[in-house]
Amino acid sequence: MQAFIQLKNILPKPLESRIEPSDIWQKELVLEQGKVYQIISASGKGKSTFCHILYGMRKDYKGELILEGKSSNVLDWTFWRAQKMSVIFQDLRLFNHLSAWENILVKVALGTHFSETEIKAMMEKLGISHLAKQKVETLSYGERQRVAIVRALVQPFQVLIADEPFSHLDAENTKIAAKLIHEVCQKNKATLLITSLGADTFPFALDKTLKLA
Amino acid sequence: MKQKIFRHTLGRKNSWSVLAFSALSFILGMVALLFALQFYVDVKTAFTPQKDEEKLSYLIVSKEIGLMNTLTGARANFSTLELEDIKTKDFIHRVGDFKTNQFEVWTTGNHLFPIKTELFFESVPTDMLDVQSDLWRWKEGDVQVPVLLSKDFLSLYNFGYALVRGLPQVPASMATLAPAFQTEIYSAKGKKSIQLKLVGFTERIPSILVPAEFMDWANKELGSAETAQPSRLLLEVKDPANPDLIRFLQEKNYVVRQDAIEAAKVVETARWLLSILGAVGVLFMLLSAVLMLTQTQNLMLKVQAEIKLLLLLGYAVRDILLYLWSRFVLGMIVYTLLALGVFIYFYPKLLAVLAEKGLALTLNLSMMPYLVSLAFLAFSLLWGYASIRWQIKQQQ
Repeated sequence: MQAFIQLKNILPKPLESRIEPSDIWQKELVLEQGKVYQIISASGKGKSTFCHILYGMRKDYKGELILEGKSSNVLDWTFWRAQKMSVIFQDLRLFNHLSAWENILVKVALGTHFSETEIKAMMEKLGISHLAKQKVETLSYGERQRVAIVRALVQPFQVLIADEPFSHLDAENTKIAAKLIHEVCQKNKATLLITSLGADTFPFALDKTLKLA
Repeated sequence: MKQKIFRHTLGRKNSWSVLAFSALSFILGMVALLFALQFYVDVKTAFTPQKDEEKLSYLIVSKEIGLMNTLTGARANFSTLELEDIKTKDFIHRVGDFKTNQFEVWTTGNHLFPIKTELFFESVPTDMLDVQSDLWRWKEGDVQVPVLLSKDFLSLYNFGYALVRGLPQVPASMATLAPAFQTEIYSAKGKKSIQLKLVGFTERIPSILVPAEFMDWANKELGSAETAQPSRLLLEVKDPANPDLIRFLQEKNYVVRQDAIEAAKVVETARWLLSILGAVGVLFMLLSAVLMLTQTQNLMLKVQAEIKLLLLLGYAVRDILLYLWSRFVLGMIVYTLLALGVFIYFYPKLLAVLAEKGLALTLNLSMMPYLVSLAFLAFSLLWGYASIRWQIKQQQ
């Protein structure tokens, strides 16, 4: 497998003063294509910060991030976010005034390999198809989380960053959502990075577990 | 589909009050600009009508006649040096000499103007006259001599002499049809009989003008052979209100016909007023532009979270920019059309009100206000583009 993502001694500047030993910060790390990585740590150790760095949202770090051989500083992030890298934000980041279906269309408009029927089937699997026309602001957090999962899965991607994607789901729904994520990632031959508080969240084979602290 | 997404995500937060205020500020600015510019054009045309402008471009100057001239009989002539000096000034386009007769003239009139009087003649270069006539030519041997009379003289005759003497008043058109004046010119050197044929009336030069060819010939035949220095000059100037010209004439103590100076002062004052009007127009434009920018920023601030999220989800700056700017352009065009409508409807009403107050201005069709408004629109569109782009980039 080729080195899809390389991290060279990455250290977020806000963590400089309180750095603890970890598998990620200030390490040379290679994330290979098609593999599943789980990042675990307690709250406040920088899981979301790591996700944001990977997704090009934060620049306040030392070290270097290389994606497909290109430095993140010169990367066409618009193209990457539309075609190569997808994300499930911990804080979801949905358009609350839009319906669940419209939120998913925001990604579909940039291109998708899925038909409308397939997308609706995904919603059906996650138990939110009946909420399609409802405004997101009227949904529960768990329901919103499932909308965010579908939105992340419909676009073409080679990397999926999932930041605590099941934090508001019960065990049954977590299992269903994890299965769907696993399926789509396998179909796309995508690298999956999934963060969680504990080690037992993702019920599928992991290639590596990285501890942040 | 992207357009639909943009409409749903970014278009929703357009508050009508903000939009209305934004529209109002732009329309008011544009209307004010159009009014100021059209008013400028109309006032300018009213203050510098073609005829006056032509008249003002010729100034008759002489030297001040003092007591010494009366006592010694010395003529207040321009010396060669003074003439050379005047000719070097760049605010004076051309200098024409007045030549005077060095002999005596006695006319016995005709049946229409039964006057017997002594006369004087002056001549100026033909191409500096305001009257063009085919009859204005003379060559040696011609008995008939064309003459141009100041229009003021005809008025003096009609409203002074003719009334007092109970003679009929004569309109200018008839006067030129009258038979020639039987006239004698004479001096110690001899006497000649000529016929003066009135060919027109001049408004530019208050004198009795004959062709320079006749003057030269008669002065040679009857006058002293030496060439006299001119005592009056006809200056062709580009701008009679030019402060350098006025200063020069004052410094040299040259006398200019008062009405020319007064007219120049009026034009100068009008120029000041017009500059103020122009400045007001520009001020309105700038205020309007600032208001527009503020309003655009206000609208952008309302959707900055949505823009940020769209960028995070993989939307290109270019696409968002084009969507927001195209709406901006559409708005601007609608506002501009509205402003034009207001201007075209209300401007003639303003002129009507001013006419009632005693300031009669005519609407002059000029492209200038429209072109400036168009430039303002283009500037606003570019400014809008830059402003929207900058604000989107801020969210990256």
